[in-house]
Amino acid sequence: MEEIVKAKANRRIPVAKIVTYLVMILYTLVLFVPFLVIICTSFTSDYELGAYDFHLFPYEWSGEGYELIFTLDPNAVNGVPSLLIGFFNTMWQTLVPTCVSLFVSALVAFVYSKFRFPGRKAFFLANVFTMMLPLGAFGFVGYLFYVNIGWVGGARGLLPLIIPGLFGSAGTIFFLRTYFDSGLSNEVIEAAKLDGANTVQLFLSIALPLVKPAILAQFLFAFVGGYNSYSAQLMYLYNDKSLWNLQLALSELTGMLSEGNGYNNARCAASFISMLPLIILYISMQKYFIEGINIGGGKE
Amino acid sequence: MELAKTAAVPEEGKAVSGRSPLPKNKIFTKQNVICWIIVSVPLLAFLVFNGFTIIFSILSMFGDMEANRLDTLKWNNFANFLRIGEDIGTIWQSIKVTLVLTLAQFTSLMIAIIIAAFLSQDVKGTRFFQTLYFIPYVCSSVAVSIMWMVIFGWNGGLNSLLGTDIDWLNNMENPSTLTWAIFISVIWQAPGYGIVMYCSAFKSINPALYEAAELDGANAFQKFWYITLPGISTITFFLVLAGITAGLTTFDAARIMAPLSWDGYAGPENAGLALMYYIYIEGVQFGNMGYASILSWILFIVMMIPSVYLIRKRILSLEDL
Repeated sequence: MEEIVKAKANRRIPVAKIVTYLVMILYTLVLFVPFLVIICTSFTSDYELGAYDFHLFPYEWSGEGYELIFTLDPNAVNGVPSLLIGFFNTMWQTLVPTCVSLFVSALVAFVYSKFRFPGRKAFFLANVFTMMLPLGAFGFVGYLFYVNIGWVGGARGLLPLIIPGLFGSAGTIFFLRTYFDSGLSNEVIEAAKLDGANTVQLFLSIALPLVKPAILAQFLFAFVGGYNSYSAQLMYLYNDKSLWNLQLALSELTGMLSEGNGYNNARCAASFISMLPLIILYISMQKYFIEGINIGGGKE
Repeated sequence: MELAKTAAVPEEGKAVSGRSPLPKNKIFTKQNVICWIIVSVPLLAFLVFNGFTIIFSILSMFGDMEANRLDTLKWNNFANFLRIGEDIGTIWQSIKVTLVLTLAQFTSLMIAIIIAAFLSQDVKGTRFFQTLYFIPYVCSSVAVSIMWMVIFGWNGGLNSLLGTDIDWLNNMENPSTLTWAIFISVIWQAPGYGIVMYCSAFKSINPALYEAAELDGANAFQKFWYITLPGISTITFFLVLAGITAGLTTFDAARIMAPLSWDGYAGPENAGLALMYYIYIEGVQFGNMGYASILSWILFIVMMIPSVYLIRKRILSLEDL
């Protein structure tokens, strides 16, 4: 009986499957044709772009776009192209606060999870409260505060970008706490203490490794956020080209190139090579990205 | 290092009951003090960096300053507030743009549900497509906006695809094409996160429910409506709130795709003037921080409405912690 049902199902044209694949392929095209357009444009010479109507694949492949962004960069500092400076600045301006903040957040989450102290609940509620306030609205008003304490201008513009981010983030604390609550049992702690571990060792060598997947997820998303950050750098670092991050360098470079409609190849090249590092990072670590959303997303 | 000597990790029974093992009159033990210090760090930082920002912004609303210095603040008879009346046309325009960009977040959510529903079908390769669909999400909105500017721009491909000859980003006859170009760049980029979340939400719904519904003769739509939708309500709730926040504070795409013209317009007839962009122009570029503060507070109050709802829900669910 079962065999007959199965055979019947196989004979039928799998409409649902075909529709599913059609939708998936169509959506893939929607997402990747724009990439294809800018990749192809980036490999077309400026002359060809100006002389002919739009055509996707260049008649003659040319590396001119990539040459232009490194040689004709009006924002270069001492001959070093701004995109390159921007990339290195992005790295350290993102990694330093991300790592410090993650460590602080993990420590705070550990304390909330494994210690009983008076006022613990009130502190934690305050933490949750700060997490919920929509302070994004005050993003640009913060400038007023930092101007008045002298944290704006030249290299001091780095202070508002880095210092406030060093003290942990409420969302990460909330997220990691649930991890310590469920993943680090008191038996494990007791066993470690019997082995003579003190609390600092306990935190560094037992608690932290246990929540590694959660920390890695937080790190990846914080890193992506930092790499793509733009508005704060625009506000605080605009006057010092040697401190620009990648997004600021990219927007300024393409903004200058776009005056007069030319150099579309250079704009596409700049935009594409700025996206490339994160795309590569994502593809090589996609398992952790997807896992990261699955374990933490619904909780934030 | 003091922590190491004195810290007492609660034993299981005590951890559950939450009672302190110490006598009541000894609150200021070393362990408690160290705990307080550690958990205060993020809260104090929050108070200092955001508290002062909020106080300064309130002060600045009531006066004029030179070069944004509060010590030069001079009372100006509510001039900043009166300016709202004169400026209502621009504010209204920026609200309209902001609403379109918030709509883009809702549209992204719809796209995410639909795509995730297809990805949850029992066919091969869904994992691969899910991985692909997340790629735009890790791209910066700056680079994505530049990409769309090229495509929407002169000889960029869209016109030859549609057979039109429109300057989408600088359309004097119909300026709103710029607003919708920004809309497109947002919905191209934003659904990735929702897709991944919905995929896992769909997977977590008990398949027995579908089987039972099938036995009762439910069709595909009924199954989606009565089983799938309730099953993803928590995640939808979170994504709606995140979407509202992201939509109302859209800045990067607006600033890139609608660069400020020499006469102070963000695109033709301010078609790219999202509210955050307006706040940036007024506060940071023109130095009218008092006025920018008022606009920020309006935005903050609007954003508080969903947040208050979230805070109530979250704090109620925390009773057991």
